[in-house]
Amino acid sequence: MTMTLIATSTVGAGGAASISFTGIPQTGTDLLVVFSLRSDGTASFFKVQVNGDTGSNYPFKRLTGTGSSVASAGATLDGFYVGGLTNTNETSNTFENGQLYICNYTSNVAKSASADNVTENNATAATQDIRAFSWTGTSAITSMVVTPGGGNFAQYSTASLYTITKGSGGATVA
Amino acid sequence: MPNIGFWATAGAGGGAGIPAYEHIATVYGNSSSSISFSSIPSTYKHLQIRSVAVSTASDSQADWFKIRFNDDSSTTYWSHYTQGYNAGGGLASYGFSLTGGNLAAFTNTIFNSGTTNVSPSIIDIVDYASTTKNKTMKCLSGVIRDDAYDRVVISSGSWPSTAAINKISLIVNSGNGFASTSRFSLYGIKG
Amino acid sequence: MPTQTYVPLANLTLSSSQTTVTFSSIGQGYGDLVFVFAGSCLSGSADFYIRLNGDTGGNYDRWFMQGDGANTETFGNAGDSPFRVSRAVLAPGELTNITMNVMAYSATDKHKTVLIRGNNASRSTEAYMGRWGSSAAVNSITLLLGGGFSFAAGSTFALYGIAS
Repeated sequence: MTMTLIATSTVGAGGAASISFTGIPQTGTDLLVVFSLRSDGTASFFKVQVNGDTGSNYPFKRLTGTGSSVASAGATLDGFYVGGLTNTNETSNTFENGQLYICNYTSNVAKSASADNVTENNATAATQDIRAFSWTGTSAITSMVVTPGGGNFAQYSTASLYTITKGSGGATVA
Repeated sequence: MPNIGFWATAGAGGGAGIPAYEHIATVYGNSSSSISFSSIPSTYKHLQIRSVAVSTASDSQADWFKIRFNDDSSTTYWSHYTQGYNAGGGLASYGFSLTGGNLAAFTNTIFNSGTTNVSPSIIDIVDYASTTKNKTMKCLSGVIRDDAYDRVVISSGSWPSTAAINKISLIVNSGNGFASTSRFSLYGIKG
Repeated sequence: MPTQTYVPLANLTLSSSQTTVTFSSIGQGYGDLVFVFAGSCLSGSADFYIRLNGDTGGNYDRWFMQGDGANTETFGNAGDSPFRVSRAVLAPGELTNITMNVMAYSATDKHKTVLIRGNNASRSTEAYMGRWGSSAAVNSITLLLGGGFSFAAGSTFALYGIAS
């Protein structure tokens, strides 16, 4: 099977400071994380750190629309900063919709990744965001932690982790 | 506040190690102005719609279709999109409200290249069966006509309802139809 | 056992540098194809080319938007050959990943359209719409680099079918 659910985590009453996945099976090729998140405060972004790496080892480039303008930025930060996070400044009961895709997560070389993420709001302002990432770590990814940029994730926030598993053969080279 | 840790081993979460992506239904255009997926099971976590579409409009401009949930035609939905566009405006971002649906994706019309030049889109709806969350969708789509209406678009939308989604309708904005070369496939993603 | 929907069709990890990789005799039993590349090139700064059915004619149109960390851009070409990802390019020591959805690839009543995300954290992230102006079913995909550059060893190419 190509796309396999590994786990889903749902934040309960009172919120949560983070969501984590540990003991990630090493049987897949790529990782896909699907998010439906909200801050219970005013945090406007969230990040994913793998293998406990909190160092500045995650370079990125982004393209972001805000409902009225478009901009690009890039940096090297301490996690995959996936994109915007819907918060208490925005319409109640509304959560962001995003995904993070990490290629070749079991390899012993640096990793390449991407993210597509949107927030929503009953107003002109909301973000549509695409990102390119890499992670300089050369170990297989066995764990990840998702954290908001301050405060907690609100109740009912979810993150679902999947593996994508490649086939074998079927290509020619020249 | 607690950290939510999750051991990603078989059996954890009640769904670990299971095939996650399943085809639910495919619908083809038949010149009517809308297509629908009804009686959507609530047993998945997320939904994805993969489509190619062309509108039967003879308008020289591109058309677009909106997405409506549970036949809710009266609620104000909010839509946002960021597009790279060949015409004036270039790379720009917009947000606006619509009654009865979110802007989902732009499409080509038969004015340009007949029914063979379709426009693709991939729509993701997360936590569609939740009864505590409003519904947020995102979409990657594009139109190529070799004219000023070429574009690539990331769109998003909010249906401000905590009802579980059991029906999705895609409706051509111009009131024209989806040509027969249009194809819409709905997938469920477990979680 | 439920019918598989997201099916691995083929994959390749390069054990040495190569100039082209081809998936041929692609089965026609699916709705869409998903292609995923991750890797680098041996030398130069190379656009990533995608050729369908060996078509070397000017039958490829594209429109994209991208951000390079400072600037934003939207741009396109008609009558190009072939599809080319030209901002999230490959370069030695940099990682690029590209995901391409080939929509309705097996249909014979419509042109073939692709939605691509190209990503190089050192250069650009781009969203890309492409059209191959042929109604033929796609039965082969060839990946190569502009300028005659080579894919580096360790680069990976994976192809999946999505049933519909």
